[in-house]
Amino acid sequence: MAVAGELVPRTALRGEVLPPPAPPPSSGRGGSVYADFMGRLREYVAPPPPGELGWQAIIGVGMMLGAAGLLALLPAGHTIADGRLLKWVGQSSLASAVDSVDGLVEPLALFGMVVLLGVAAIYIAGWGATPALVFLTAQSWLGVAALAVAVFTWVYVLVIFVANLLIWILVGVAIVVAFIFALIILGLFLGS
Amino acid sequence: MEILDRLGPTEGAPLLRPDPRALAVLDDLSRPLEERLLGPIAKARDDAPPPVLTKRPAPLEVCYTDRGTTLMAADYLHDPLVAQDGGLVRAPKSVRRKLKKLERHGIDPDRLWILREVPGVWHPGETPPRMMGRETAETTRSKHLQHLQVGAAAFAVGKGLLYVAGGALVVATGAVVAASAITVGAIGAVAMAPLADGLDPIVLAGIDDPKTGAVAWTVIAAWDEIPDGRGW
Repeated sequence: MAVAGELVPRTALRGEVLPPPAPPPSSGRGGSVYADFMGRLREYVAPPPPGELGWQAIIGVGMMLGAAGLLALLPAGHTIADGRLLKWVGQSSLASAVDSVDGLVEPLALFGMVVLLGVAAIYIAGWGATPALVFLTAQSWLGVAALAVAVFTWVYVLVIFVANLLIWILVGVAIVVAFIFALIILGLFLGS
Repeated sequence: MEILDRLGPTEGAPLLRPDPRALAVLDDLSRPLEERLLGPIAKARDDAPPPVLTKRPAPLEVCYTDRGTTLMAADYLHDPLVAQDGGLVRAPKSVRRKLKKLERHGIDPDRLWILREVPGVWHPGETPPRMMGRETAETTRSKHLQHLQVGAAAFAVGKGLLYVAGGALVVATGAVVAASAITVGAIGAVAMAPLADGLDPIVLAGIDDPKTGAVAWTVIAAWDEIPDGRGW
């Protein structure tokens, strides 16, 4: 089975024999050579996450901050509840919806800025382990979710506003029509 | 001993013709080889090339190839990359699993040698280039792709939601569409980036012959490495 006739290590043939670097300290496993070797075995250090993933995370953070800005621009819940403009349709439900998302402004803005620092730290440290990748990927979903909340709240506001505006217009038209009818009736009455 | 002198690493190969004295050394070593190396390798259902015999090598040997690479052969404690990495031996998961299996089956060599090829000309005292397992690089690349796709899916969902929300939000929609486009481009770039050619680290396990100073070696692990662009 054994072959006597080849040189090992082959790759060192005709090579320089050199002073080796100092041996590192023991792995702490002690015992045999193999046990010490096994105690030193590790996975390769993961490469840093790709820059594109960082851009995705930054876009996600941008959406989160944009969502915070959009939510901050919403009228206050009590203004909606107390106002007379939206008195016809959805006033109380819109006021309560706006109240419930109003509390998201500061947490979203703060979270976005902390995440931005986290993204910077990951790229500065070159940390490419799975938790870092998950953290970066999560930002795009969180950004989209935050933006969706802000946008749909605004859409809700616009829908309620438009619905109430239409009713106001209808009321106005009805008043004008009634006024015209009243004038006509008055004219007929005076004419007779 | 004459036969062992002819086996020195500075000699050309293959030198040693079948010789009764070399075969006698192997004969002496057959039992420890079987008990401490080949038996555990067989029990681990692994293939091992036939053992080969050398005289005891120097702790570190280096030579340079005409491909512009450096070949190193060193005891694992003196391997320049291991020394640079604080005494840690880096290997991909599959190799570590295989080596662990050999340990469970009782492999017990006297020496462990690492042979490796690194790009460029390396001289002792210089910082060696950092290397990464090809398997690790491939796994990492596929993981990066998956994460980019998950991120892209978020933007696609966001785009859909904004279309549902209505055309009044053109600016926001435009931002999400742009994010989607960037992401699709990124996925393509990561997927298409070629990996460098692999260079092989090989781990040899050796059993000493106390009478002659000869060492019988067998390969217990080999894998591909590629240069890692990062510094240490």
